[in-house]
Amino acid sequence: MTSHTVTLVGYLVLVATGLGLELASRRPESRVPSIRVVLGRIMSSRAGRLAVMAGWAWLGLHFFAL
Amino acid sequence: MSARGRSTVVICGVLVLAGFVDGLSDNWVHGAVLGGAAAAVWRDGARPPTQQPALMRGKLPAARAWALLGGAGVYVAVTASLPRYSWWVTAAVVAPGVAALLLAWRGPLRDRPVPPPPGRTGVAVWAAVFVAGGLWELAALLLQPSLEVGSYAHPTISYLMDSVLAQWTGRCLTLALWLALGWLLLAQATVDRRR
Repeated sequence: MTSHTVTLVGYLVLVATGLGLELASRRPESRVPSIRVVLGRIMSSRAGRLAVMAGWAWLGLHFFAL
Repeated sequence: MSARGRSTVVICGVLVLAGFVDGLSDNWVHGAVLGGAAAAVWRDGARPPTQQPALMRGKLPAARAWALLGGAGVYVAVTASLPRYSWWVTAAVVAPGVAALLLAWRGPLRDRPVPPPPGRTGVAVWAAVFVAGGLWELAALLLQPSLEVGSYAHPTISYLMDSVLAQWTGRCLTLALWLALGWLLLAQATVDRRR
């Protein structure tokens, strides 16, 4: 397996883990919170909202802007 | 130090560090945006907490929703036509970014109550996934020939996205997903009734 493939597999495993956690959160009595709950807690304060939205704005800048 | 003070310091630290590293990679505009957000968080932390009423009440009227969608479609088509890494596209991406930050400063979009606190294990597993993702990307970045030169052997997400963003359709799709993600994130903001 080349290092290119290993790197790609790493990204895929992380995405699959995130999806798995989100699915696990939907089970009754689950101890794993959904991403909506986590974001809702973080974004209950102005600092949290600013941090999350700064991360989002940075993503757009990173892919397109100078 | 209060919990609010601690979170202000942690968030400012993360934003300043991310902005500094981005600046070192010769992306000073990005670094300035992250630094500006850090300054806003710091300023907010020094003031007593306030809570603005939610911006939207009930569902968005259909006519306004279609107008927003149409506007977003025109924005995506026009912005995707601009050359990447030009001042024009920078202005086009900074505009919704700043608008979103101003909305985030103002308060939540909807009157959504804060969900009950999740258990430590649940928070830890989500944190582990995001930290692992950041470290994996950082490892790929550091294994490149230099911070500015991508590597096929150790591709970063940006390197993988280059082939997608080389075409107009790919840029359209990416911008549409970026805008949709921004709207979804803004919609997750909650109102803490204790304040």
